[in-house]
Amino acid sequence: MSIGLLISAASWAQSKPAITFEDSAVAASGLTPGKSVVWFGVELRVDAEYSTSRTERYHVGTVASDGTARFTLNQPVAVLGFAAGYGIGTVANNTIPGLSDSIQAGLGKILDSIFLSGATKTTLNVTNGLIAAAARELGKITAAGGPEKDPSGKHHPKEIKAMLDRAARLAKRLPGKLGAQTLEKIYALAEQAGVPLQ
Amino acid sequence: MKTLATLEAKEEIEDVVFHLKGLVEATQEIAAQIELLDETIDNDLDRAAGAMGALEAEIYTHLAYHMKELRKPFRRLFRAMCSELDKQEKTAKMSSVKVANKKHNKG
Repeated sequence: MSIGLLISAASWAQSKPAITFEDSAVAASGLTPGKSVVWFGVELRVDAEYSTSRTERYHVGTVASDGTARFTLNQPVAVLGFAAGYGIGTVANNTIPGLSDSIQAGLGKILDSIFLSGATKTTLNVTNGLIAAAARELGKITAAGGPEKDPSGKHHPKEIKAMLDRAARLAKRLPGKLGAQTLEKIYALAEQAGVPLQ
Repeated sequence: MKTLATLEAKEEIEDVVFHLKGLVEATQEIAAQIELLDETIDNDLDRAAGAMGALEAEIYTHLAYHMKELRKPFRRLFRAMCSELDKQEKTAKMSSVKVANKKHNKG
């Protein structure tokens, strides 16, 4: 199970927040009393036959007077991985299901290293790997003096296309501006290589 | 990768040479990314994740692309070489039989 804690700038007290796992709950401390806290968790359970169930949980709460907040679950917490950080980042995906627009707009910011963006980071890293590989191949065409002079002129564009097609498919899964910017890079490379993408 | 002068001069096997070189380049990149992963996994998770992304791209797209594209031209070349070898062996056998016959007739 991975839990992300989304803290509005206003609820972040002077001290560094801490998160602890209890039997059937997750607790945060070091927050400013009375402020809002948004919890979200992604739970991945693997049974004995290796089938998995994935559950997403969202909860909006208020920081108690002692600076703590608690996210209670209806079953024991199975911690497979924990992804939480305290750096305030930008909202990777503006549509968190279950949260009203006003809450989302009010919070405005999100922690960077939360579990939900873990999948995004994986996709982004692979996409960047593909872009780098395609750029290297494109560099070979350029180094040869252009497609007409490239001895492997008929092969390189096909290879680049294979890389960029996959990169574009992955980039379409990236959220918002990140996805748009990545796609822009991919299409720019495709244009340079003279390959139409799917 | 170094220039493969003899192979690269043969236009008829251009596909095979291109994809073989591609495989080597992909594996060189994989080796570089594994080294980067080794250097960063305990102290820079961000760069380590970048190395993993590059590894996935190299293995499952770059390497896989060359493996897939190489299969047919590689098999074609290999068969052609084996059939040529077969021909050469048959010719050599025929010549040795002829030489033996000549020797036999002279004797």
